[in-house]
Amino acid sequence: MNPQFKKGVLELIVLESVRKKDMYGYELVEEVSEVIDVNEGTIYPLLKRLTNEHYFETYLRESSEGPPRKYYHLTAAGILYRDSLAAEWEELQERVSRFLKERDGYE
Amino acid sequence: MNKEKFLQELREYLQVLEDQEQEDILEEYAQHIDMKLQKGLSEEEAIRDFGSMKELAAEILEAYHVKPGFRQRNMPVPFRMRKKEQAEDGGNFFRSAADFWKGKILAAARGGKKAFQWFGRKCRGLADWAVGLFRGENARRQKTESGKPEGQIAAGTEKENLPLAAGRNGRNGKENEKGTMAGDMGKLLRGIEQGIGKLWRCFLSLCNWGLKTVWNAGWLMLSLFCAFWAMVALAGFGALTVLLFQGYPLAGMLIISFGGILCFGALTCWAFSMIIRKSGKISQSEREVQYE
Repeated sequence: MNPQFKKGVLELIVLESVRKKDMYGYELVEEVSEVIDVNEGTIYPLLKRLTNEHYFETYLRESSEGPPRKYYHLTAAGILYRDSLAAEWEELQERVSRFLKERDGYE
Repeated sequence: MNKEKFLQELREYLQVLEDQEQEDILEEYAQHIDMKLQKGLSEEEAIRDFGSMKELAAEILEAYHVKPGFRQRNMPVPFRMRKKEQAEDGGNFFRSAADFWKGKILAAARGGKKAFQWFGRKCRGLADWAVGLFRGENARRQKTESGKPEGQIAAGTEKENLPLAAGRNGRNGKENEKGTMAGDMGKLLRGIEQGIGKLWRCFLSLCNWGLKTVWNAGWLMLSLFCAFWAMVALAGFGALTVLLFQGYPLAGMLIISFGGILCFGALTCWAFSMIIRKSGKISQSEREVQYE
């Protein structure tokens, strides 16, 4: 897939994943990887940025195996941001597919 | 690359961030790699999945709104790169020295041009004044000697042709003919001034050419001189080899002449490489570098 497509929509997928339940980094990476094939390294900077912009809160929780894990939780601002992104995505997707269909009709 | 090395190198890229933030993000990557290990992958494989270290670091810095290029100028950088940059600096030494002198010479040339222009202006002013004085007396004499008609005709035609010249000399309407003559003179002088400018430019390019020629000739002479001695050393080396095989104790001399070949050969190459071949090409590439 076009990497530019992925980059734009990655934020939305990450926000949506965390909305359902709080997740730690690696868990989130796995979930996102199921949806789109993405370089795993690039998700952490994204999480960092969304946290810096207060869309995520983080807390540490002990795990049965290994060191404590940092969990990401979607804030109220994050939910609003997710909704606006989802709406934008719907609109864009609709417009593009309608445009492509119109073109098909002419030929 | 193993985990320790990866984290170490990534940390160097992230020097610009606060220590706490560095720890924070590196912890995530460390945990990620640990998880991969638990799943049965090797450290190498896990790290390979991250792709290029540089891009990864750029993306992390971007998340903090830091300019990714910032590190290259102000921050300590990974050792490998530091070495490379130093090597490049060394290569640029001669060029930067050349640029420095070029700048000085150009500044001097500009100063010279200004001085010439000033000189030209003064000359013109002086000449204008002298001509005005002379023409003024002449015209007055003409007026008294040959009467009005000629002067009036001259004033009528030339007034329209050269109002500027007349205005510049600040004469009144009655003495227009005088003004226009001075105007003609002014034109001529302006021509001379432009001529001086052109001459100066020609002189500069000639100087430039001359300097380059002298420079090239000097280096060519040196390279020929060194080449000659390299040849002598080579001939000596051959002769000494033969003599050595004939049983003469000349091993030391042989080594010396071998050293001479290497030394003079290297000097020849160096001197030859200092010759400027085409200035146009160099300045073109310099300009490209500047645009980058």
